[in-house]
Amino acid sequence: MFTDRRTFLQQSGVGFGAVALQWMLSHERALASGRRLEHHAARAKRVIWLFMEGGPSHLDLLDPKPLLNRLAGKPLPEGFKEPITAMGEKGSPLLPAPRTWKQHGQSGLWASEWMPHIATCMDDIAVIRSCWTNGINHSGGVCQMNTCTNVAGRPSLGAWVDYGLGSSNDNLPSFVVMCDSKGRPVNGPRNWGSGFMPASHQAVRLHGHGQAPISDLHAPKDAKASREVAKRDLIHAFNASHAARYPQQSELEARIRSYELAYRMQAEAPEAVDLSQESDATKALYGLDHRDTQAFGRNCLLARRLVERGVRFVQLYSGTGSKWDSHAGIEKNHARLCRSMDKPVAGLLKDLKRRGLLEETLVIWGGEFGRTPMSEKGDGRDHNPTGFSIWMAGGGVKGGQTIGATDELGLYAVEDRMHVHDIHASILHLLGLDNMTLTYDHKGRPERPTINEGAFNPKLIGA
Amino acid sequence: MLLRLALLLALSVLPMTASESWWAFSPLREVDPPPLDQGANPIDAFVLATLREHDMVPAPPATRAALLRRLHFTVIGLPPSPAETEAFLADNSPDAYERRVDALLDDPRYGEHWASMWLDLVRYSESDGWNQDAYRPHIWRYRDYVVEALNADKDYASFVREQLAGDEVPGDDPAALTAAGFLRLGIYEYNQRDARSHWDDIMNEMTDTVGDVFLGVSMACARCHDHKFDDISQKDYFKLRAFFEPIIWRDDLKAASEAQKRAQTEAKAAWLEATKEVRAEIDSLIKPYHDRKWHSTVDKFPLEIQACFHKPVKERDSWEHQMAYLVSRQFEEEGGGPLKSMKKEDEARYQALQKQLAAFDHLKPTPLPPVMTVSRFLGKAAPTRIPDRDGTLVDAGYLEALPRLPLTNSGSSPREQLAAWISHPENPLTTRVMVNRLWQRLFGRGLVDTPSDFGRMGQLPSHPELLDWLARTFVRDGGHFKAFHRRVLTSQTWRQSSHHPQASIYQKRDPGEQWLWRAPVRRLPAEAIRDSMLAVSGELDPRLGGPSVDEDAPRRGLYVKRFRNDNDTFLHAFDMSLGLKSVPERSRTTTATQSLTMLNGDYVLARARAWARVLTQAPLDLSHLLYQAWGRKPTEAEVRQAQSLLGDSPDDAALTDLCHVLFNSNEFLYVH
Repeated sequence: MFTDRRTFLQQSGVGFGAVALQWMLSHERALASGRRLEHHAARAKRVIWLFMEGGPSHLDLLDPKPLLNRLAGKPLPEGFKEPITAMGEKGSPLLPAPRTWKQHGQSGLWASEWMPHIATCMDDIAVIRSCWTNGINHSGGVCQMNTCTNVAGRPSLGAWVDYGLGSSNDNLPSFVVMCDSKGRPVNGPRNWGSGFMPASHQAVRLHGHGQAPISDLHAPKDAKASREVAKRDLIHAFNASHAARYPQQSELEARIRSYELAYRMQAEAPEAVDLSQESDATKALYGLDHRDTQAFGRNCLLARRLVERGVRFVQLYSGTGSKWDSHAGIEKNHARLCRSMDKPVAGLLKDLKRRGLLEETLVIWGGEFGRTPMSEKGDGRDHNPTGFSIWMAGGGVKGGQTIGATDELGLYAVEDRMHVHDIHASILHLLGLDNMTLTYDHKGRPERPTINEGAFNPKLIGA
Repeated sequence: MLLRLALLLALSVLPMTASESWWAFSPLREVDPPPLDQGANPIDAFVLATLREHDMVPAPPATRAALLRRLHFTVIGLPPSPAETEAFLADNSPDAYERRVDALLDDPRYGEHWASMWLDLVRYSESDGWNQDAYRPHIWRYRDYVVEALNADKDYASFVREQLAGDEVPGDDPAALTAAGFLRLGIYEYNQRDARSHWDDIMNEMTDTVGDVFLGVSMACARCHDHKFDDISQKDYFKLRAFFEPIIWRDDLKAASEAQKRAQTEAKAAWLEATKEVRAEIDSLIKPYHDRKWHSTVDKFPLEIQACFHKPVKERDSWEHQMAYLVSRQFEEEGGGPLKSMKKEDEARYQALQKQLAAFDHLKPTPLPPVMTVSRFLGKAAPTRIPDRDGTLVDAGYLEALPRLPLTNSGSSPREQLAAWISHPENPLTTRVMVNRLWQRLFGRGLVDTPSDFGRMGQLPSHPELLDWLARTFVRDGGHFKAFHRRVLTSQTWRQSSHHPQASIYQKRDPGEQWLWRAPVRRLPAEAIRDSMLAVSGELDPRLGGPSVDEDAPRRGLYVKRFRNDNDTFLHAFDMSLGLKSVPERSRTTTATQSLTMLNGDYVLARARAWARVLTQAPLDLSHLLYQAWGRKPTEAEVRQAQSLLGDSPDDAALTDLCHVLFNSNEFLYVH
């Protein structure tokens, strides 16, 4: 086959036709299916990860603590170990969470008034109230939630999934990240980097409104189309004859192929991100018709379009640049951020569900940590890595349930604790990947995505 | 992975005690090369013998033009100009090639190009990492140290000693202090209040890196448990860490000789005297503000860390002192300065005083160059404990599995002793590891294809005798890289063509091409792609060294500022390392993102425009243009193809298009 193709390339001389391209594509797929395999039957085929950057307060959203309001203004009672906090305030009084809590849906899951739309989807949601992490600062926390460790240098979960499962659309990147503002999240692009793996596994960042969605996807605006075609042809001509002069050099073929993929991305990506194809009703569902919700709503809608087209792993940052961080004035901060996120997220869940996509799309919601029951600067809360909530929906997750618990003040996770290692192991499991079987050889170590720790929590699937 | 498991199983049934028999841990052998013709290069004798065993013959020699281009990219990372190629082709003397090798090794651009091997290994970057990712304004001096050491052909033992213990090396060489900046290259988070864990992470990461870089074994596994595959115990890990335990960070030292420092003190005396009063007034003005800031800084730390800070220096041990440093550093790093929160009238007074102070600036001597470096704490060294149940104490020491080495310099400091142990001629691991790294960079793959893992999970050497012969010869040559390069670059093995008439058959027999039957075809590394574009476009600024520059400055890629959190630059698209972990060999990816960058990215287009601008200043010579890009005379057909893109009366835009196409051609991006 190799030789046939080589001969073909040589004979075809300068032209690099559709037949060769077809061959290469099928070859690519064959390769892919050889290396990449699920370890067990997958429940989820793809992931949309809604990352609330900065650390949303579980105490004000998903984990009601009546004792907190009763002890408001008092110091942390005896029996609660005072943690090392990021901002170092010591002995600060407890801050009440003046929320209106209601139970929702058939399942009666709790949600506060700050997320009225998501509250209508609680029957599809499994709330994990017992999460914990090591990073006490944003950088370490965000790094760990993405790469399983707080110290930089390991591949992000999306990179592992791309490595493990590959792409299911040759013309689009398989791992995509979007931010809800032009800002950059803490740690920048290394959050979605590939660490010690080749850079081909890292995410492609899609840009926001008014910018070309993918960097360098198109020639500059002043370029003439006919010239671009002529240039493209000449590049092909030079490269094909060069490859013919250097037989048995697979890298040269790969390079030619990468140009072909680039052209296919140019052709397909614009359609994938073209929201004009969506109805007004759909846009409204995501909140695109309102100033407060349109930025994150747009990203949620794009995420649906991308997963529909085979993109494997989409991560959306809400509050890009630690905006969920609320050391002071949490009431104002969270009210605003919840408003920007709540309707779009609920819209996404409903839209995925009505299109039959939710079953195989795992939606994850959460930040890098939660917030302390103790106050900071009077009306804010510090970081809480020792106990916080995230939730998951779709992708085989049994909705309408709560997993684990924090203590009576929501400071420490105490029941069914899930470390970030366990969260990642569980996400991988739902995707059909076993966190101990998936390995990448690096400097003499079989590296594993969860650093040899962590386990799937079977409660997620109701087992 | 399966293969490795099979190998492990096979090994486990062999009758041997692990430590002595693992090849990389056993003493270097004295090997004689196979019989060779007079004047032949022993490397070729080794390679030919192996090829013969496999019933193979080497490729014919590369064409002279291809060889010269390969030599240029390999040694200095830049292409030869058509004039240089023509001169080489016209030189019929028998040693024409050898003279080119020598000339390029003597070219300071050699150090610039080869520095990346070392900078990748030591995870060099210029920012803190973590959230703030603050730029380190003085760390470039370490980069320049590496470039200069390579250009001066510093012996490996000195190179190792200066980086591990340059602060303690006797003598008065500011370069050594700069070199010890190696011990500062890890990441750092200024606002981390969990200072204990933070420092623990930093020390462990330093230990991991030393294992990776100098020993070529993955120590990291042994941090949490005895190594599962290699004879490295958790105790070994912490024995290695113990060498570094008494380190404290220094930002106040200068890369200057004693004489320079004395001169500085003398010169500064006049300024100090003249400004005495105004400085005293400034100090008293800002004192209450500083006190408040100190209080709030210290207060944020856990109590045990606060206690370290409040302890008098004399009573601290090295760990406590470093904890106090982390607190103080936070004071420095917290934004605002004294003006923040200052009362209006104080602020006005403060600014007036600053103005008065500035009036004496003419008396102030030029400051001495600051360095990021370390010292050994002069008081009590903190103990190193294994994080087991008992917190077992360990002393500094060497890997148990390696042979005992006779160390002579027992009077020197512990880190100097470690350096001496590492670079000891009889250290089996480190010399093999280093010559393999050099070989890897010359051939694209090492004789051991896992250059930082010479343990059981790594690959076995393809040419074990050659490796030991190279290691022995390297030691005999005094540990000089250039002698090694010369020996390899002048071998027939290195000068082979990348064409082999039997390639399709050989490739089935030896798909990894480990038997060296032809030269590899390799994509240029990130910096070389950038540098070559700047070179042919005539923009390249050839200055050596100095502070790093922004991405769009026309300096070599080596000098572009490196931020750990930015992995989305042009250089990173082509697999430049991030400086987060030691990288013994960069990935070589081929991605659509790269192609899009080359096709549509601003940077490449700007280089094409610049090149076209140069071209419009003289009558157009298409053949020369293609020669510049590809390092060879183009064929008539190629010139015609290029002409067809230009049309009859080419304007700037058309020329830019052609230059842009040439940047995108594989022949520009690959070396054969």
